[in-house]
Amino acid sequence: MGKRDIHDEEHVVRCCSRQKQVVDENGTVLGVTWEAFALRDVDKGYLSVALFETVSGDADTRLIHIRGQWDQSGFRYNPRKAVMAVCNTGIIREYGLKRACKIRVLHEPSRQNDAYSAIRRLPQDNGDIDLLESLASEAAVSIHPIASLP
Amino acid sequence: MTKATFDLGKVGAPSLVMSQPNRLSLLLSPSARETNASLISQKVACTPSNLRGQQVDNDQNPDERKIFENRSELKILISQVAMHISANQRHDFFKQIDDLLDQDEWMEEDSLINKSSFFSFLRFITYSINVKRPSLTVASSGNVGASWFHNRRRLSIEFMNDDTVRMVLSQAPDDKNEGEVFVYQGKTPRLNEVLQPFDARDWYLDGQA
Repeated sequence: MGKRDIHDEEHVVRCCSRQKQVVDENGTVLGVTWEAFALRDVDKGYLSVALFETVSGDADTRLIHIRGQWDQSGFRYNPRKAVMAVCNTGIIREYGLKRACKIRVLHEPSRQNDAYSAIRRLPQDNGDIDLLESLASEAAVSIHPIASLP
Repeated sequence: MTKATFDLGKVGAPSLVMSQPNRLSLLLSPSARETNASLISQKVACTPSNLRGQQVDNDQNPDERKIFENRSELKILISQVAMHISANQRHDFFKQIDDLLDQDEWMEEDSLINKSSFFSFLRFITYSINVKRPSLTVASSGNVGASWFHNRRRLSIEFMNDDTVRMVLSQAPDDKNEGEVFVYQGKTPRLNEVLQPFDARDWYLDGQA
């Protein structure tokens, strides 16, 4: 299964734990912090995401498919509290270029997960917080609690 | 020694004293100490609700035990400054800690909260006036963060040791303005001065024009 650059008009989905969410007093998720896009040691130098447009249909259909791929591949997430941040690929690249960072967003499907994708060439030391904040605030165009999916 | 006095009505007026650099100590009257001790024991007894009445098994997953201990120590820290925050704030912080450190919902990317970071956060809350309700988050480093998001304005403050903070402020672009992002790392007392050019104090403080 081949890799390809994801088009600017397409989107990728990042799973964000409760610890990276900003939540109001009613439990409504207002957004995610820049930390949701920070590289950790376990990330091996890139961010794991999922291609939103792997299947056609409405948002719920697409997110349910991604959730199923996560289950199939053994990716562990919190079904009650984690959220799926849908991010526009074009905006990711645009902010990367503004920060002199040629980010690549690639669809890298596998047998276990046909939606698997990666955001590569981010600054490895998380030193560019401006960039990470821009990704969290502008590239993340919608937030979907996994618990709200059928 | 720096000393600040708060007028707290019935409990009396404790003195908030920094006896050593960056250590927050409370000099309380005997009645206030008794109330404080009672409050601490009540709050610790409430945590964790799913382990109430059960003995902690020594063979229990150490991660679960560490999460439980982390929750407890943070709540004890809150209880130690209970006189200087409202009951609503105390209740809200307890609730958010339970939410962030939930062993049943733990994800691989989650972190325990660094106690000295949380202490810095509490100092910020007690020394600031009329802080709006923050949403607490946890960085991968274990530092606690406080965020205020409203409309397309975002302010996040990460509390590190020794009253050092990393603040990220962003405002989304609109028809009139390009968006902006500002990052500051420095001492907590400088925050207001740093935020002034952005007219951003009202993002996290109530009652600001």
